[in-house]
Amino acid sequence: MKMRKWMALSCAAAMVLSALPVSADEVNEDVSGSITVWEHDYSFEEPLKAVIEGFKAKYPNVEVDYEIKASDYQQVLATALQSGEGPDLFWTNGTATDIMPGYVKNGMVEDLTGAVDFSIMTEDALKLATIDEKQYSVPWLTMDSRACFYNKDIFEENGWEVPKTFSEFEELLAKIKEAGITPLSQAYGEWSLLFIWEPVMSAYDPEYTRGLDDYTSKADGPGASGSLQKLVDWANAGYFGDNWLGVINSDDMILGFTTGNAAMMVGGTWNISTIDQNNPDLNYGAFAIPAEDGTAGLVGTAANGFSINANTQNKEAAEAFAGYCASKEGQTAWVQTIGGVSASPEIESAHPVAQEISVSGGGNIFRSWQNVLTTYAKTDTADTVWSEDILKVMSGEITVDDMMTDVAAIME
Amino acid sequence: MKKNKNYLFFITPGFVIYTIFAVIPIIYVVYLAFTNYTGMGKADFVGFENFVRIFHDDRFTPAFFNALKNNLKYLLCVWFIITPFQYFLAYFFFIKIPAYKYLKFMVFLPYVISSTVIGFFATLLFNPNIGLMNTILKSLGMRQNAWFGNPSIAFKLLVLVIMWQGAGSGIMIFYANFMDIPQEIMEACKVDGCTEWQRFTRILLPLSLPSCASIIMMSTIWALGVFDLPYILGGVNGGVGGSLDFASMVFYRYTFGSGLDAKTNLGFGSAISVIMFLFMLIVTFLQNKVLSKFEYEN
Repeated sequence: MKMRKWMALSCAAAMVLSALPVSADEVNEDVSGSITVWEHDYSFEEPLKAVIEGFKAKYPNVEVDYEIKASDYQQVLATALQSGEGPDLFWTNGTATDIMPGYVKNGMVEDLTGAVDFSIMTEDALKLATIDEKQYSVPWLTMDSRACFYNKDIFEENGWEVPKTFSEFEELLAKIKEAGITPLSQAYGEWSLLFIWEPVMSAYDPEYTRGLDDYTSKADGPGASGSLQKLVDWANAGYFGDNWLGVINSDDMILGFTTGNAAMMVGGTWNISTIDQNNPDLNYGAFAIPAEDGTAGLVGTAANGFSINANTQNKEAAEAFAGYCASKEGQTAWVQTIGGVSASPEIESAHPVAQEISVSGGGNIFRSWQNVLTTYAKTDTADTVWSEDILKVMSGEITVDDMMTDVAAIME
Repeated sequence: MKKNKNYLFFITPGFVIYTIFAVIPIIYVVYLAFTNYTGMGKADFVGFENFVRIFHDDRFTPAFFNALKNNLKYLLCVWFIITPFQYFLAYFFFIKIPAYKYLKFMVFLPYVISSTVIGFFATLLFNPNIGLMNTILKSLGMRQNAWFGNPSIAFKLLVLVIMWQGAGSGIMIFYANFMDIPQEIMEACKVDGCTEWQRFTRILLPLSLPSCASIIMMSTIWALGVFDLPYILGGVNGGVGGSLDFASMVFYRYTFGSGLDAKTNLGFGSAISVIMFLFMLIVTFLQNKVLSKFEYEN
């Protein structure tokens, strides 16, 4: 009888323990199998490798393969998921775009609520994963923000200093141009343009940009139009180089900076590892473009990570991997390997440039203009409108006012 | 008399495979063109809404017709520049100009390289930041160029790159056609004292017209569906001012979305495919009418 009681108790304890979220504290040899993870860009390869390495130390019986689908990621992923051939885990932009919500609506991603311990996540990060109070992805605690990278050697040789106000920044652009150097490496691509426009917007009109948080500033407001006109003026003044319209992707833009052709580049913090790989000897730093009153801030949000395919054949191993990603250890491996700005007080940024960016931002975080657009647009064409129009504005096909009229027409 | 129906055994496998992999998908695409299918979930019937949007949408319609215009421009280049270029190169190889073996090798070489690699080579040459062309111009103290970012020359450059890459296929067919002309005719022509010009205009040209028809036909179909090189060289949005935008790229953008925020819209994409299918059908039908005059009885 005693024996039966013990057995019953043991079984109950085992059931309770198995229902608890996966912990990353100890080696687990019970979970086995093989899983595949898809990422969307090579700049995330090194951090992913670091996370997989840490995971395999905890789960030695799980094989993890990864694939970087750098070309047409969303299209390839959607096709794979629709055909039932999708990876076990895959990256999406979370709730920042309509992609993951679409998958959730169609039952294509697994509900991770209760299966993964999200206790380390910040409120902002969790927003990216949460739909109807359930979590469908594991965010990364990196601040995906934009900053102005600069070549310290070129600055030192010419006696230039990091600007403290917006007008100093503009004066610096003119000085660099006069010295025969391209001030900013820039690509003629919608995302590259957005990633320079948003920080310029926050520096050009901080009040307007702050109003984007609660949508008291409209997407077609003066801060947006004025800052975009600034970009047009800079392009016309040759600050992006005379032939920048021929640079069509961000890789070439980064090469323009890492080869020393340009003195500066406004890009994402996720570009840090690519810059390091392109030119390990490059002596560079970064700063947030300052406003006229000397304050500065960073435009950005926490980054999203992986969701689990609802049709995975290795649910246990996939959940274990998601659980490891959500752990402090997994997050630290990711944040420090990518060289990103940490979005959590519990995790330190390892890269000196990421630390510079954190300090330069002064703790001010601005909401992304594009995020406001996709959140408050009354049609599903918001992304098409901004991405097509920004290219047309920069090539002179339409004016800034034309674009703002198009934007106003689709907003609530 | 009993009719022999053995031919059915030979036809059936091909017929079944063709029906499954070509006919049924076409019928399915026509069906999808009347729905709002996104690739996930249900496909609701929306009538002619997708077709109306193709012709009356403020944003899509100008982009689509600009792309079609580029397709037609490219088609004219195929007819009047690329095919004659291939023809004359094949002729020069046939008459064995000096170093023709080396030249033949050099012309055929890019043909066996994939479009992606060709695009990469073109980038190495024409990229404004790291490209060889601007480096040379800079060292000579000359004005540099945006190349594929310059709408006034982007299309011409694209045609040049395509000629460099794809000339080999047409040359191969023309050259084989020239070699296939009976030696007796060529010798009789020599004995009769024909000049090179007479030999070309009276013998080679008329006897190679069927291969011209085949090449023009294949190039036309390719020209109306061109995608890879302009996509690599001008980006998914079709370059500055839509100078490198083609119908397949517009289809791609609006069917699968672009960049990180891709939203699939297979219903609308299917409607574009149906329109493109009809357009290609009309062009090839008219072209066939003209090219049928090139054929001769053996």
